[in-house]
Amino acid sequence: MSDKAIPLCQAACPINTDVPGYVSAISRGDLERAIRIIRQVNPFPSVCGRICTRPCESACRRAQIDEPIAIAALKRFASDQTKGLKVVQPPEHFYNETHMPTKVGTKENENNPPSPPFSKGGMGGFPGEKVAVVGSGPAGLTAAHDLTLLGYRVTVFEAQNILGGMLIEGIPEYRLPKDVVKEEIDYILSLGIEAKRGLSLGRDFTIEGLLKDYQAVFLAIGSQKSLLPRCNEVELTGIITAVEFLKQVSQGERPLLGKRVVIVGGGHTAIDAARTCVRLGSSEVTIIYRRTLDEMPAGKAEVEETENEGVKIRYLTAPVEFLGNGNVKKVRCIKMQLGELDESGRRRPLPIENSEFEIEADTVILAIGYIPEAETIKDSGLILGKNGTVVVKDDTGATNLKGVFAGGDVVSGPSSVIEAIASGKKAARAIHRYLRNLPDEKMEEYSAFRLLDDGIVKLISKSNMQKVSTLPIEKRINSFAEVELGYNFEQAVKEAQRCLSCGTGAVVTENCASCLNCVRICPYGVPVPGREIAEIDISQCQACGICVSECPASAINLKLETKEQVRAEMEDIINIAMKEAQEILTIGFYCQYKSPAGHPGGGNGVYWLGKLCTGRLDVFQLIYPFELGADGLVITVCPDQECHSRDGSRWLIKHIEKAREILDEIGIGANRLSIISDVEELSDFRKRLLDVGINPLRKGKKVKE
Amino acid sequence: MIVAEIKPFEEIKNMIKNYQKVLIVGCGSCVTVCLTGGERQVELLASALRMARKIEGNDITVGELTIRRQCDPEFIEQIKDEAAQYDVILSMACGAGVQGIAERFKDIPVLPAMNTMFLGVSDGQGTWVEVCAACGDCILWKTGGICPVARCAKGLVNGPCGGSQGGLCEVSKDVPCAWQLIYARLVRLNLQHFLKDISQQKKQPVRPRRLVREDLRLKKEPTKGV
Amino acid sequence: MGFREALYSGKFLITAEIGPVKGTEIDVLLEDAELIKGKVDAINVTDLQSSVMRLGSMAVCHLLKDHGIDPIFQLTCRDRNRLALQSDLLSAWVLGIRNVLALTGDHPTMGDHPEAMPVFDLDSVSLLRVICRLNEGFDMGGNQLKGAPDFFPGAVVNPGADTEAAFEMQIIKMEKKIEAGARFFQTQGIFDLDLFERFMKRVEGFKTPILGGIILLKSAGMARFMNKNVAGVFVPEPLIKAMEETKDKVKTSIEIAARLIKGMKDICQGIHIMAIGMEDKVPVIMEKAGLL
Ligand code: SF4
Ligand code: SF4
Ligand code: SF4
Ligand code: SF4
Repeated sequence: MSDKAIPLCQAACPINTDVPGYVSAISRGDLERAIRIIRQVNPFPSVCGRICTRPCESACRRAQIDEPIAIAALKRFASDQTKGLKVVQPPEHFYNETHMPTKVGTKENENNPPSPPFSKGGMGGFPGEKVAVVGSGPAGLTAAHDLTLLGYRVTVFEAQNILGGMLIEGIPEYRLPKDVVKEEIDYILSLGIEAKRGLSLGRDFTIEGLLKDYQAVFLAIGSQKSLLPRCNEVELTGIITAVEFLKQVSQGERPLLGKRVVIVGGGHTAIDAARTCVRLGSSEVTIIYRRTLDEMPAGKAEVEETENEGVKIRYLTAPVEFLGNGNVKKVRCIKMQLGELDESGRRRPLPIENSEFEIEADTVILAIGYIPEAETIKDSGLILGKNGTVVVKDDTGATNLKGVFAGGDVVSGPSSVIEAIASGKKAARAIHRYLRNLPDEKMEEYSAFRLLDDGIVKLISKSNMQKVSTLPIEKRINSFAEVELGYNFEQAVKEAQRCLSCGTGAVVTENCASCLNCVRICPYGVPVPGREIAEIDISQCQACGICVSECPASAINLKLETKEQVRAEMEDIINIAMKEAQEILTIGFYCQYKSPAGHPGGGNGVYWLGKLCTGRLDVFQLIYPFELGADGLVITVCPDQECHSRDGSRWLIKHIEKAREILDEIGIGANRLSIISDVEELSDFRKRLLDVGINPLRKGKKVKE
Repeated sequence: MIVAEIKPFEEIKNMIKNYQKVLIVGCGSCVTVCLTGGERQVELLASALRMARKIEGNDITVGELTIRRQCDPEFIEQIKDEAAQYDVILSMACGAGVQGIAERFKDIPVLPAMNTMFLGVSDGQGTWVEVCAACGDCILWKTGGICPVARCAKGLVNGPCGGSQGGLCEVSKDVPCAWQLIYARLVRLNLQHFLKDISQQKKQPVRPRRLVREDLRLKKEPTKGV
Repeated sequence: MGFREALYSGKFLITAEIGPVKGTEIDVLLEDAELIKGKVDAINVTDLQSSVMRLGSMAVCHLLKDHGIDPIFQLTCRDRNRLALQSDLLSAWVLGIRNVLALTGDHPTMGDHPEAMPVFDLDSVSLLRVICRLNEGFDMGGNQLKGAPDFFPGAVVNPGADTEAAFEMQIIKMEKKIEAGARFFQTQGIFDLDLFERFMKRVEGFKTPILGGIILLKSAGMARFMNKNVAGVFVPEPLIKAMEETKDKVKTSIEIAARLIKGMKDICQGIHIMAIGMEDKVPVIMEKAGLL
């Protein structure tokens, strides 16, 4: 069962991003590794890092202890900090037949150099085969990205003169800066994608026509036609749709709104429109929404920020009529109450008789719902559903027309960016299979880990989410500067270290001798004696690694860091040290939880290796550096009560005692191995080490020859 | 299981002092379970020996292998190619394992890295206790499942020596008197009457003992030595 | 009158105990024996007491016999397997030794050769059985003897066992020893007469004579040491205090012993004095206790 089960965050993510993988990379300060893991599935990391609806965070198990991990903010951090780093990741998850998300964050996975078709800018694999993507929103561009990496020649058709769809036109600058979007799109295009701008489906070309030149078509034209309320006088001037309004603003226009603006609706677009009005100088901005905060699609945090900026929200209020003479003057509203559940699972709002009232308005912005622009495709032969959405056969996006696939909002109706990306990925996979004549396949279904057991929750110490700093309110008015400022390095690492690294813990191999030592020593009581070998429920394991370093059969592997990785890391650092160090060569292990900003210093000639909890160091790792030629080894040990992994410090001290005993026995001397708690102790140690001299294994040889 | 402990490092070093190529063979059964002779310990001992010898200016090659069990010839057979490449084998198994290997590879000296201690059970983290003396004539049925032959310092079968204090054995003052335990258990089981029986004194077995199950053998010829 | 006869005469029995030297100088030992000769019914000779290697019990018993004293040959299971035990018993018999006290024995780790192999091939119960079997003319293996001994076997019991389990098991084991042939018991040192009386009531029905143990106190320190380290010995606080406050330790010690002996006269069938180096004081004690 646990084979197919994945962390809750990963399971909640529509593209199953390996969250613990990249978060743990960040927790060790390894941003390159983080972005590689992210890019494996997501061509829009900077975008998602800002505006993702974050289903992962709602699912995160850390909430059982205190608050979820700020997963999106960490993605943004990793992405922003690695700008300019060209990582082209083969789109692993959806194409690799054998891929299992359990390979999270392993070296093998992340260092895979792109295989030939990827490295040749998309012109490698199947250059004769061309795919047309209609629409350049997140769904379209994701499909284009993945198909290009698979080796197809892709052309993207965009009706506007600028690529990006809703990313550019729908989401205001202060939430998602245009240049962030542009950079991400440029990056995607740089893989070798052709973009045709200003060409509109239905007007400039048809699907039928495309199929003559292209072997497959992916339709991702979005869902941007606004629904209008069934009210009188909706055609008065001063009443506009939010889509139109946001589009104008995104193109640099600054429409005159007047002082009082009323926005109708409760979704993200309504909120975006309201906050945009504030920035355009309107002083009385009111959102009217017919349900309550609980039913609002926009998140609570977002609503709070909006109110902080001065926007009033009137819940349980619906418009009945717009009043005015040429130009809108007032909105007549009615109070609502919630009744029975409707088909969307929410309680249906019902008007309260005789509760009508009026709100003054210079401008009214309508943001109550969107449907695809069905006119453009009505003659295409595609089967359309109600509201004009394209009907697809299954979640591969195949339509009733051979070679034509559809995805994104045009299929689902208005949804989130991450859903659009997921749908683009699925379509790319389906198109690939279609073009390669591969049989239909069943998509692997992953189940999510169960929640942490109460007993374990109690053992994990609390630490609240690192707050993302935001632009002060006064600076937001009349400005489209980005509101969320993102993490700095230390904040990001600290936040990442809060992650429980679900699913990166211990796996028992068949080498298990059933000694049950792990059962006896796990500080969280996770391992249990199975019928034959010990069993560790990876969904509950806290990845502290204590059992790994105590298993006498070396039968436990930690996914977080494999034994091979650990050994290689150590060999690498000693190799470097051997080349550089003067005379005395000191290796240091430090706890990355204790020093999130990096190693504790101590001058040249100390070669540091960070460990997420030094308690993971087994006796071998404490004597091996000497075999490799180190003269001294220092380890930071956190006070027992501060140890991130319960018992880690206590085991480490045992290991150090044992290692010192061995060093004495073999004649290297226990005094070369020492615990240090600060830089001062380190310099004392190094002074003493000078007297002790170089490691007798090196016999008179200087480090530098 | 058989409980063994690693010999003092000096002693091991001394045993191998005249050899240049040493194969350390761990055992994946009892001694892995009592955390002394499994893969992890093989790795540690190998590294320690390499370093110790290098310091003496007398480098050695150390091979590392752990097999499932050293008390079965078929498992030992699996490492015959590796074994042939070494001057000496250092076994991290109980004495049975050492002899098992020695019997298979008659031309290579096989040395014990362990002191074999007793038949025991786990008593929690990092602790094992002796509970059976392999006497060949089990009396546990009348001693409440607690063996006085193994767990009484004097191996008394007819009740305590009278020297216990506060329930602890007069010989090892931190160990419960086996007979106190037996008494408590028999009372609990309502089987005290066993205490009144005069037990036959134990018989000493003739060593080496062997178990031949004719019902499990087709071969007619008598069994050989080891 | 030998010990066996004294026992059957129904008189209040008196035995003392001497420990052989480490070495061959036996003069002091014999002098001490001479002092109490005629005042006691028998003298026990210990068998490498506390597992300390020394002169053997059998030889000393033989010497005592020559000096006209009836010895009680203490025989432990610590150092001899069943062959040696049986052979030594036969040897003892031909040397004129008639009484045997069968004991399990201390563990070698308590003595001066802690690495010695603990034998314990037999235990006190089975040893008693073997003695009776020899008396019947057979060895343990059922082989007939040419000429059988006629030992008078005894055993020890510890009335002061500290836990309920230990106490109950002492009683059970005592019964077993009787069943195996023990004809008398000597006890560990008694200092609390009430406790001892309770014990005696409990074993009344066993109908086997019991000689209450008397240990001569040398100091308060010794008393405390025994309380802590010797199983079954409990010196009550007032006695320790008396030893602490007295100017004349020997005198006080004699008084305490005499008082205990007087008290025991009505409780048990005899006393066994363990003088531990104060053998010369035994006559005085007996006099004070009204036994002379
Ligand atoms: S704690 Fe980390 S791995 Fe676990 S659900 Fe939350 S983000 Fe995912
Ligand atoms: S510690 Fe290792 S060998 Fe022992 S039960 Fe656990 S996994 Fe198996
Ligand atoms: S000891 Fe640590 S790594 Fe091992 S099972 Fe327990 S929590 Fe997981
Ligand atoms: S005290 Fe108990 S366990 Fe110890 S030797 Fe005596 S009878 Fe045996």
